[in-house]
Amino acid sequence: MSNFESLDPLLHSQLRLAIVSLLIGVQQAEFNYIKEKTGATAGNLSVQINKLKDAGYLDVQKTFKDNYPLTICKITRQGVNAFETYVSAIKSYIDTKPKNA
Amino acid sequence: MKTRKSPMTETESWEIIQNMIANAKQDVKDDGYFLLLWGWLVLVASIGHYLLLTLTDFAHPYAVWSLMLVGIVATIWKVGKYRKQRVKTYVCTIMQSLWLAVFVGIIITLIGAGFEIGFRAAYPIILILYGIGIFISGSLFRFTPLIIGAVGTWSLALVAFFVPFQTQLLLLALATMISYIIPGFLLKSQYTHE
Repeated sequence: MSNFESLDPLLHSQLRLAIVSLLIGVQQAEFNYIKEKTGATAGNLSVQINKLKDAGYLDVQKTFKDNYPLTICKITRQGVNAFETYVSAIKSYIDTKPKNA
Repeated sequence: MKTRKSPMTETESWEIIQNMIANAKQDVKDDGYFLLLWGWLVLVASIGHYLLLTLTDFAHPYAVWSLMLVGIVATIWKVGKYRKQRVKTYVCTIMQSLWLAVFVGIIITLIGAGFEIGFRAAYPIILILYGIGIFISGSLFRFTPLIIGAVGTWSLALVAFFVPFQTQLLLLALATMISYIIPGFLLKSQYTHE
């Protein structure tokens, strides 16, 4: 697993990877949608989204809908690039891994 | 899902990526609602118009097209529901813009033809516009029945230039069957099964 040390530590985490993988296929998603799809708790999800936002991987808009706060998340170009790099690293690791390992 | 201290294996990473992408993909599936709604309305209106025109002396056989108001109301209601969805996809945004563009094109054609050159000139153009909408939708959803329907509609559009107005109404009904109703039912059954 030594190759994994060079992987983007921001994406190499279960929940953060799930958030980015979910957002890669859509234009934008509400916080509750991500919460439902990932099965994460609101607190943990909020922390991880903020980490991704601070790294420039996500664009987070806070607004209101029917007087309730609404958070909308969107992946940025930087986030897409990071995800693509991560996926190709994982893929090359799987491809080069001996079959009997 | 929780964050944890121990590192993930490559297989776990891969599974998370695949699961999440598949999860989001389920929400972009089309249930064939608009195809069936407009398909049935245009089919009933075009056959109704044909029957009133050929079998009766009714002065305003085109009045059956007022059925389209039902379609407009039902479309606005459904689009309103989509706007409340918690996730927005590029496919959905492109589909909305595409069909709005087709609708505007049809309205301009009907106004131009109705006031200036006659409705016989309008129907082939309307069929071409239908074909464009169906072809791009089929390409976006990678749904072959829609692409076949679009090719069929364009062929009927070509034929429509050479036939009288009454026959154009039947061609429109046929185009609606092959490009809206049949693909609509196939999409609906695919959506229900998945």
